[in-house]
Amino acid sequence: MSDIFWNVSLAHYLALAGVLFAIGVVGALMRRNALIVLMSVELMLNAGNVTLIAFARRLQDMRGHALALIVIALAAAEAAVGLAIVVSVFRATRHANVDRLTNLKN
Amino acid sequence: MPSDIHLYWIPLLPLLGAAINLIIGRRLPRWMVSAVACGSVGVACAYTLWLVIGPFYDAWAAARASGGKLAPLVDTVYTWIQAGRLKIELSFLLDPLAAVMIVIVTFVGFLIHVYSIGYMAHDKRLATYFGYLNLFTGAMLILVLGDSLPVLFIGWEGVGLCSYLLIGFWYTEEKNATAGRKAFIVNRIGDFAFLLGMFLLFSGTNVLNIQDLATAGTRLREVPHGGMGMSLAFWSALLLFGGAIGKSAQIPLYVWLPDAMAGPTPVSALIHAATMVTAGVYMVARMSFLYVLAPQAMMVVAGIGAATALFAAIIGFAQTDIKRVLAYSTVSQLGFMFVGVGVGAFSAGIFHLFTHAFFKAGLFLAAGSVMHAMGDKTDIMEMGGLKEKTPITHGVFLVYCLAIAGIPVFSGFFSKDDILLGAYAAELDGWPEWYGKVLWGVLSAAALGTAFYMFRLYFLVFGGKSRADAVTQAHIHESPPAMTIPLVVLAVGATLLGFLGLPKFIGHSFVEQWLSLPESKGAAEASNGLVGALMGGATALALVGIVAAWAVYRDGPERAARITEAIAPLKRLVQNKFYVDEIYDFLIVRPFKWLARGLFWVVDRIVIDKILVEGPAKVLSVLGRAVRAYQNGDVQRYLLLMVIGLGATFYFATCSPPDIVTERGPGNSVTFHALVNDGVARRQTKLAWDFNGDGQTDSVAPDVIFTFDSPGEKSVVLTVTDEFGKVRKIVRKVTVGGGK
Amino acid sequence: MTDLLLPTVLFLPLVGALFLMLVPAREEGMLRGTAFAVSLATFLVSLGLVFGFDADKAGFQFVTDKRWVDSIGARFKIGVDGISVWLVLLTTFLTPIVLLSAWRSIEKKVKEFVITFLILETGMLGAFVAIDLFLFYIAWEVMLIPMYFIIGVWGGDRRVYASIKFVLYTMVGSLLMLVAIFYLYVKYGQALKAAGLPEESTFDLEAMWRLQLPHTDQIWCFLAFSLAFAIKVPVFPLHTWLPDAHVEAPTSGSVILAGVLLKFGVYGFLRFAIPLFPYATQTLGPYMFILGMVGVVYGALMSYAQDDIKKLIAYSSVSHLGFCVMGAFALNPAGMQGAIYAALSHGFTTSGLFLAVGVLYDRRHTRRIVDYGGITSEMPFFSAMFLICTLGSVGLPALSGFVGEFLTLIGSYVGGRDFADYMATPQLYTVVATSGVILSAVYLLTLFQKVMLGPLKNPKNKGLPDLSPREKAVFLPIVLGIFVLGVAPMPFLKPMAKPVDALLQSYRTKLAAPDALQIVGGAPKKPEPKAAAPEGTPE
Repeated sequence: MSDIFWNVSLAHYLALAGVLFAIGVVGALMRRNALIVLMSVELMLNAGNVTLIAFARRLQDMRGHALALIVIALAAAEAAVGLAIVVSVFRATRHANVDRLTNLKN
Repeated sequence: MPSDIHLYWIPLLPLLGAAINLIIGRRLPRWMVSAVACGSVGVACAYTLWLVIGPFYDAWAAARASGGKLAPLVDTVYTWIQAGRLKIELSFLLDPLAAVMIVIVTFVGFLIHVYSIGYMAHDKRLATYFGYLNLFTGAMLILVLGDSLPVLFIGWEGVGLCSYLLIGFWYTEEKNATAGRKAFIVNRIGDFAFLLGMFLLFSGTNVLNIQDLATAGTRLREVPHGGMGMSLAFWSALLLFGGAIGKSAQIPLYVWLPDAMAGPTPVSALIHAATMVTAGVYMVARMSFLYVLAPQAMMVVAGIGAATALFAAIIGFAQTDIKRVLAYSTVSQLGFMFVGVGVGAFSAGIFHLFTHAFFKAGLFLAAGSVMHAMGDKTDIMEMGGLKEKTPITHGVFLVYCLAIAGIPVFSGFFSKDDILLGAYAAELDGWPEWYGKVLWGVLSAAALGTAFYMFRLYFLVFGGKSRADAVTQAHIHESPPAMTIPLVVLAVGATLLGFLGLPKFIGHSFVEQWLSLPESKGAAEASNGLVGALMGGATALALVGIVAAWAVYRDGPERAARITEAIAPLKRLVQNKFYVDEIYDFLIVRPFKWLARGLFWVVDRIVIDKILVEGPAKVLSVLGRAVRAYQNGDVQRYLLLMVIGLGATFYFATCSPPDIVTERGPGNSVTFHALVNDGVARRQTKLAWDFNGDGQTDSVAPDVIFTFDSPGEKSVVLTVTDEFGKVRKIVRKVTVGGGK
Repeated sequence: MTDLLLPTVLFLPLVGALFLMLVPAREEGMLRGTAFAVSLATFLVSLGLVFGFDADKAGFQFVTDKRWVDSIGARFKIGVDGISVWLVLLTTFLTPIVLLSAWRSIEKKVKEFVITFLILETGMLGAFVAIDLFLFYIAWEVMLIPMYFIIGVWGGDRRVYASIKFVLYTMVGSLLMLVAIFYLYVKYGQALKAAGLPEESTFDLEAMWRLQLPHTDQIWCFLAFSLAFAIKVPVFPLHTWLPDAHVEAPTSGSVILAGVLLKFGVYGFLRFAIPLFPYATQTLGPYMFILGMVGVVYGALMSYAQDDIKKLIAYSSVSHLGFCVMGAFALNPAGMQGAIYAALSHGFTTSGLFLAVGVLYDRRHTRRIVDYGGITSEMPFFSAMFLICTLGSVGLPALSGFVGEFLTLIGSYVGGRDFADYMATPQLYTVVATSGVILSAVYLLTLFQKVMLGPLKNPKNKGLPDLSPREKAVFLPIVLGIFVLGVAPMPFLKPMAKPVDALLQSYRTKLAAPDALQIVGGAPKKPEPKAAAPEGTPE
C-alpha cells in the first residue's frame, strides 16, 4: 500500500494525465463560457504533455520532451487565436456563451 | 465544242450578283442594284443562249448527222466531298435536257428581273429583293446543271430556301412569314424522301453521279437492294419522286404553293414558271433511265399527276384571289407534266414545262400588272372592265389564257396534246391496259376545267363593268414599259414556241429529237388518225370550257352566284379547298405539337429529371434531414460526438474480438489468417493454433497454411492471449478438400 | 521549331492566365484586352498546326513526348492527328470570339472570368492533344472545374442547381472512366508479363490501342468509357444536364459548352471507346447507334416544345449530336468522317445561335420567345447573321451543316456493312433519323419566325440597336466559317481520311484477334531505354 502510494511510478503520471484529460473533456463539453472551454482544451493538451514527459523519462527518449515543447508552443498559439476569436465574438454578440453561438447550423 | 467552255459561269454569275446585292447592296444607289441584278442574269442568259444555239447546237447537229450520240458537256470544278467510297465532284453537265432548262431559267428569269425593276420600284429593300431573286436563279441553275444528285440537291434545297426568303419577303406580316416557313417545311418533307432515295441508290451502286448511275444499269434492277420484293430502281425512283412531290407541289404536298402567293408577284412568276416547281418534273426526266426500269413507280408518278391535275383544277373553280387561281392552275399543270413523264412521254412532259414556263410567267406578271393597276387588290370579285384601261395587259392575258386552255396554234395546245396522247397510248410493262385511258380521261376533265376557270378569271377581270370602288377606279392605269415589255416578249413566246413540237402528221417534233429521251412506245406508234382525233377532242373540250365561262361570267359574277346557290355546300367545300389545310392541321400539326410537349413534360421533366436524376438526390436529402437534428450548431455537441467517435475508433482498433479467415488451397491445404487487432500492444499478443484437435500447439504465426491429412469437416482452435494475460479461445469449423 | 508548336498552343493560354493573375482586378480593360490578345495569339499559332500538317499521314504529328510521372509510367505525350487537329483549331478559334462577345456582358469579377477562361482553354486543348490516358484524364478534369465556375458564378438565376447538376453528371461518367483507365493500365502490365517482358506498364494511348482485352472485360471497360462520353455528347437519356447548364450559363459559357465541350463525347468515342474495345463496339455499338437515332428525333421534339430560346437551341444540340453518334457507330469512313465534320460544323452554327441569343439577351434581358417578334425591322444585320447560323444548323447544302449531316446519314445508311453481323437494319434507323432534317427546319425556322419576323408587337423591342462593330467582329468569322465549311469541305475532310482508315483497319485486326489478353501485332520492342527520352530535357 505505502509502496504504491509513495513510490511515484509511471502509473501515477498516467493516472494524473488521465484525470486531467477527463476534467478537460468534461469542461469542454459542459461549460458554457467560451473562455472556460478554451481553458479546458488547455487542460487536455497538458494532460498529453504529462503523458509525453512521463514516457520520455521512463524510456529515456528525448523525443518525448521535444514533442512536449512543440505542444506547448502550439497550445500558446492556439490560445492566442482562440482568445482573439472569443474577444471578437464577444464584441459582436456581447456574450461568450457557447450554447448561443449556433451559426454553424446554417 | 470549244474546250474552254466553263459551265460554272452560268450559275456563278447570278450568285455573284446575289452576293454583291446582299452584302453591299444597301449602300448602292437603286439603279445600280437593279443593274447588277439584271445584268448578272442578263449576261448569264446571253452566255447560255450563245452556248446553246452556237457551239452546243453545232455539236448536237454534228452528232446527229453522224448518227452518233451527243456526249454531254461536263465541267468539273473541284471535288466537293469525299469520304471512303463516296466521292462527290462539284461538276456541271450540259446535255440537251439541261440546255432547254437553262434557256428557260435564264431567259424567263431575266424577263422577270426586268419586270421587277418596275414592280418593286417603291420598295425600300430593293437590294435584298434582287439579291434573293438572283440567288433563286443561281440555285435553280445549279439544280439544272448539277452532274450528280448531291450537287443537284444543292440547287434543290437552294430554291427551297429562296422561296422561303421571298415568300416571306414582307415579313412584317405574320401571314407572309408563316407562308414562307410552310413552303420550306413542306419542301423539306419532300427532301427527306429525296435524301433517302440518294442513300438507297448509293448503297446499291456506290455512286451518286447521274451518268454513272445511268450506266449502273442492271444493279438498279436487282431486287435484294430494294426490299419488299421490289427492285432498287422502284424504291429509289419512288423516293426521289417523293422529293418531286414536295418541290413540284403535287398531292399531298401541294399545300405550300397557294400560300406562296404571299410573296411579291414577280416572285410567284419565278417560282411557278422558271424555277422551283418545275424542278420535280425536270428531275424525273433527268432520272428517266431510272424510271423506265421501274414501271410501277411510273404508275405512281402518273397517277398522282393526274389526280393533282383534276383536284387542283376543281379548287381553281371557286377561288376569288387572282393569284390563287393562277397558283392552283400551276399545281394542275404540273400534274399534267407528271403524267407526261409518268407515262414515259418524257419529252412531252418537258415540252409542256417549256411552254408552260412562258405562259405561266406571263400570267403572273400580267396579274402583277393588274394588281398594279388596281392598287394591289387581288380579289377578282372587285375587278372587271379592265379591257379598255389596260389594253396591253389585256391583250397578253388573253394570249396566255388561250395558250393554257389549249387552243390550237398557241403553244399550250401542242404540249398538252402530246401529254394526252402519251397517256392515251401508254403501254408500259406491268400496267393494266385501262390505266392509260383512265389517265387520259382524268386529264381531259382537268383540261376542260382549266379552260373554264382560266376564262372565268379572264372575264371577271377584264370583262363586264368595273366593280371596284371609285378611288381604285380612278387609279387604274397601264403599267410602265419595264413591266409591259417582258409581258409582250412572253406572249410572243407563248404563241410561237409550240411549233417546236409539232405533232408528227404535220411535221417533225424538234423538241423530241433534241431531247432524245426514252420515249413511250405507244405514242410513237400511234396512228395519225388517233393523234388527230385526240387533238380534235381536246380542242373541243377547251372550246366548251371557254364558252361555258363566257356564258356564266361575261358580265360579272352575279349569274354564277345564282347558279351556285343551289349547290352552296359544295361550293363552300371547294372554296375552302376541301379543307385540306385544316385536315393537315388536325392530323399532323397539332398531334406533333402535343407529342412534343407531352414528351417534354412526361419523359424529360418527370421520368428523367424528377425520378431518375433527382430521385436519388431526394433520398439522400431525406436521410440528411434525419441526421440534421444532431447538427444544431452547438460546438460542444460536435465535440461530444467527436469524443464518442474517437473512443469507438480506439475501441475497435484495439479491443474488438479476434477472428479467423480461411481460404481453401489446393488438395487438403487451407490458408488461415488470424485477424487480431493492430492495436498498440499487438506485439504482446500471443497466438496458438490447434488444427488437429490434439491439444498441442501447431503454430504461433498469424498467417498459416496447413495441410490436413484427410478431407472432411475439421474443427480448428485458435487461442489468443493478449497483453493483459486475458485468454480467448475461438473454434472454427472448416471443410477441407475439394478445393481448386 | 515545329517541336515547340503544339506545347506553345497548349500552354500559351495558361501562361496568359498566370500573367493575368498579377494584373490588378480593377484594370478591367487591360484584363479583357490581354486575355483576348493571348487567345488570339493562340489561335494564330495553332494555324501553324494546320499549315504544317501532313494530310497523307495517319499517325500523330507534332508529337512531344517527355518523361512525366515515372513511378507509374505516365508520360507527357501530346500530338495531333487529322481528327484532333480540327478540334484544336475549333477550340482556339472559338475562345477569342467568346472573350470578345463577353466584353460587355460580363461585368462582375472580370479578372476571375478571363483567368478561368484561359485555364479552360488549356484544359480543353490538353484533352484534345493528349495521347496518354493519364494526361487525358487530368486534362478532362481540368476543364470541368473552370466550366463549373463559369456556370456557377456568372450564370443565371438557377446557376447553382445547373452547375451542380453539370458537375455531378460529368463526374459520375469520368470517375468510371478513371477506373477503366487504371484497369487498362494493370492489364497492359499483365499482357507484357505474359509476353515475357518486364511488367512496366504505360498509359500511352498508341500502345494501348494494340492491347486486346478479353471480351467480357471489353464490355465493362467500354461501358465505363462510353458513359463518360455519352454524358458529354449528350446521348438520350443522359441529356438533361445540358438544357439546364446552357440556360443558366452566360453566353460565353454556352458557346464553349456547345462549341467545344460536347465534341469531347464524339471525339472520345472515336479516339478511345471504339479502337480500344472493338469486340464491345461490335456488340454494343448498335445500341449506341439506336440511342443516337433516338437523340436526333427526341432532341428535335424537345426543341419544338420549348418557350425559352436558349433551351430550344440546347435541345437542338442533342438532336445534332445524335447524328454524330450515329455516324461514329456506323463504322465506315463516310459515317466517321461525317461525325467529326458534323461536330465541327455544330461548333460554328450552334455557337452562332448562342451568340445570337446573347445579343438579344444583352439588349432585352429575357430569353422567352414570346417577348420578341419582328426584330428584323430593328436589327437587319443581326437578322442576317442569325438567319445564316439557323440555316447552317438546319443543314442547307453549301452551308456547313449539310456536309456533316449528309455524310453521317449516308454512312449510317450503309452502316457497318464492312463488318459481318454488325447491324441488321441500319437503314430503318437511318430513315427515322433522316426525319431530323424535317424537324430541324420545323423548330429552328419556327424560332426564327417568332423572334425575328412578323410585326413588332412588343413596344420594348422598338429601337433596339443593331450590332456594334465589336459584335460584328464576333459574328463575321463564324458566318464565314459556316460558308467555308459548306462550300469547300475537302481541306477539312482530307486529313481525316487517313486516321479514320487506320482506325478501321486496327479495329478489323483486333476484332479478328482471339478472345484473350494479349498485345495484338506482337509485344512492343524492348521497353524504351532511358536514352530514348529526347535529349536536352533536364528532368
